[in-house]
Amino acid sequence: MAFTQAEFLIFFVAVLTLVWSARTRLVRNLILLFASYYFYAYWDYRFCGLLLLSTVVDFIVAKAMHRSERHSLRKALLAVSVFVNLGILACFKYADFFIDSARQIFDSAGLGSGTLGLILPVGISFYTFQTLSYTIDVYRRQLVPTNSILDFALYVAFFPQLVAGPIVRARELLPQLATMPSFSRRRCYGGFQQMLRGLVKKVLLADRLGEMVDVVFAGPELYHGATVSIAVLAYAGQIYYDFSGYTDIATGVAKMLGYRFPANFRHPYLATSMADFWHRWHMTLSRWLRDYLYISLGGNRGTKLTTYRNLIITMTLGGLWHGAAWTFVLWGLLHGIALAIERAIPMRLPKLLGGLMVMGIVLSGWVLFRSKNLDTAMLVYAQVFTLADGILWLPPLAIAALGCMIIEHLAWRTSLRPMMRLPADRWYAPVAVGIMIWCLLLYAPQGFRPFVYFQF
Amino acid sequence: MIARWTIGLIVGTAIIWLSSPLFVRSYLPREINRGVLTLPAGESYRWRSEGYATSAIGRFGIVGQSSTVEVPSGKQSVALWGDSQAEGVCVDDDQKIFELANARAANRLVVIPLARSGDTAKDWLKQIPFAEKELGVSKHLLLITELSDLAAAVHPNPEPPQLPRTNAMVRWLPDFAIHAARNLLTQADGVTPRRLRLKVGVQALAATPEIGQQPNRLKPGLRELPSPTDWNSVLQSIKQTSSQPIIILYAPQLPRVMANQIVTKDSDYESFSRLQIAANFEQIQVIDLRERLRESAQRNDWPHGFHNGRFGSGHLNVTGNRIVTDAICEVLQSENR
Repeated sequence: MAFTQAEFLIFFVAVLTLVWSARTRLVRNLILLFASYYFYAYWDYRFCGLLLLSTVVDFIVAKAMHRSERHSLRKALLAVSVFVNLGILACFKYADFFIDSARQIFDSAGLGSGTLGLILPVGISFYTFQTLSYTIDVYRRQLVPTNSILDFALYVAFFPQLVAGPIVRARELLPQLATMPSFSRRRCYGGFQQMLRGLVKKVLLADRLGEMVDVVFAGPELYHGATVSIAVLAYAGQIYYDFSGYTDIATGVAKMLGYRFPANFRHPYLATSMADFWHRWHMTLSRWLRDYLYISLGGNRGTKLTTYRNLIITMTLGGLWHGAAWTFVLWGLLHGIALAIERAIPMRLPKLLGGLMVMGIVLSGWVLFRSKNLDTAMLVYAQVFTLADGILWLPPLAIAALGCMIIEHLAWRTSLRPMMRLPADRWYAPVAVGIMIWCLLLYAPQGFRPFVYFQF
Repeated sequence: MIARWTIGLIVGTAIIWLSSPLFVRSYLPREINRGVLTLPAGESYRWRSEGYATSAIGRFGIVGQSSTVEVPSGKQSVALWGDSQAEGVCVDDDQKIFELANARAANRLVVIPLARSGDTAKDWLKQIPFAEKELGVSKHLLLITELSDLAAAVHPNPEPPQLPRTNAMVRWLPDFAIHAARNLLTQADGVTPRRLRLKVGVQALAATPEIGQQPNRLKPGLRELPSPTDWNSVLQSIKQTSSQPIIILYAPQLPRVMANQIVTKDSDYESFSRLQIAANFEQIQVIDLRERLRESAQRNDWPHGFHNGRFGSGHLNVTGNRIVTDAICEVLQSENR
């Protein structure tokens, strides 16, 4: 069930009513847990077992780890958690990728092999990282494990963030689940308007841009270089509005239920350096990669060269986390190299120039990220850089959506910023809410388009 | 607080009400004219999914405000039949096929646009007697973009149309409300009622389908051509309805951009060849426009599609309409010589 489907609206209204009518925390959390499993089973009930397995293993491992004083046992228990979680991820997400890559080598040697043909369980990359952060934090003694399996199961399966994040850490959400939130009309409205903004971003902007992107990336060689260039920009807009829209809806939904999620986006295309970009884009993932991968690799505690190596490894693995394809690996590698160069050669560039350089790298990366294979990516680069001839297609709605993105990014830096949050006590808030609801009903592109990050 | 929010929401709705005619106009037939359901005369509708274009409705629910149905003496009256491609839903009235043809051959003939979105030969046959009797039509042009539209003539439907009760009931509703209700209550094709699924599922869709797997949104109920079609029966059925000369113009959606390929081959090639043989036997003229459409696309002047939709897909644009108009003018001119 996606946030943009009518079924979700019915489901959410029912959950909201039940949750706020619950008198005890136990009942409230039970309702939320049942709703979360139903939400996940709506996609594919067969994968609920994986969610349950991950939950039970990490709950038991964390408790045992906390009780034990023996370092070797604690390490072994952490290894069990990492093995189970990454094992599930490797099996369902990467097995076919590695088999397929190996087959290409074997095929050239005259040997053949098949793939497992496994279906990727929705949200597996996200909840795997969440549960891993829990056991690692307990191992590092940064977190006391919870005694309530119900709270922990709800932390893992909590439906607003289950399928595409934000990656909320146990220390952020578990304390909230351990208390009974009180109803606040103000907070509920805040959640509602954030949810509405997210829907507008996804349905009116991302999906509209996606219509152009899908067509051009299906056959870039047919289109004029200018059209392909606009499609690359459109993809930058699509992925931003799609994912930040999803995050806004997830955060808004959680807020209406009485919980807070960390921020995930801070207008990333305003970044003036690559490091700045990763402080603005998918912040919960970059935080996770920094704390659990980069620092585990040694971070910047070694020589300069090892720091650069760690950056490149972290970002490359971050790329692989997004999807089992070489295009994602190269995307991560590109960002890793850019971050390493930025660190190796500190430059004091004017903000505008820095911003343009960042956009150049980010857009080059998005080409890899969106292309279904390397051949397609190369075709896109060729069309753009040679401004090749072809069908000159300039879709006005996609260009208007890009214009919206530019205006929204620029407005965020001005005094208009508080207005964009639509405070309930301002005259313009109900007018804007009314317009947004009607626009969603009238101008949404036809057909259902899942969120981009669901496939990761 | 409640008063402010009520007023605010009303103001928001009013802004949408005022601005929506620029972007959306609901097409909901509300009258029975010439034996079919049409919009009332004097109204207009706006197509938004491809080119933004407004179509005015004239007498008898005929598209195009300036379309005249009183043919001056000495001029030939020609009816243009077809579906939305012939109606020209995505272009303004002055760029529709009938207007382009009338501008080119104003001193000799008048082309009356009787094509209607979604129509097949079944609907044309129902209207032909009216067109000949009331509008003095002396020649019929059938613009065929899908052979299945023509094949429908084999089973004519003499039943008089019924105006759906809902269509009459919503007469008082503003267009934007009708459009919103339609989006809310129907699936992507705008016709099939939306069904809610609340049961748990298996392998639900996680990624957007590839472009080639996405449904054809312009023709959701794309009809399969019955195979093999008995074209002789089809053409005989048409000839039984009209004693006037009939000309078939064949302009399929070619070339098409499908993912990373430009499809130039007509998938109905074989059936069309059989239609040509049958038409020759029945003494019906058939004009094949496929080569002209291909040549135009080769010059990078695509006959189908719009910036607001996509090229190589969808409806005929002004270039496509000009190609059809040229063919109409040529054939009528050669007949008059």
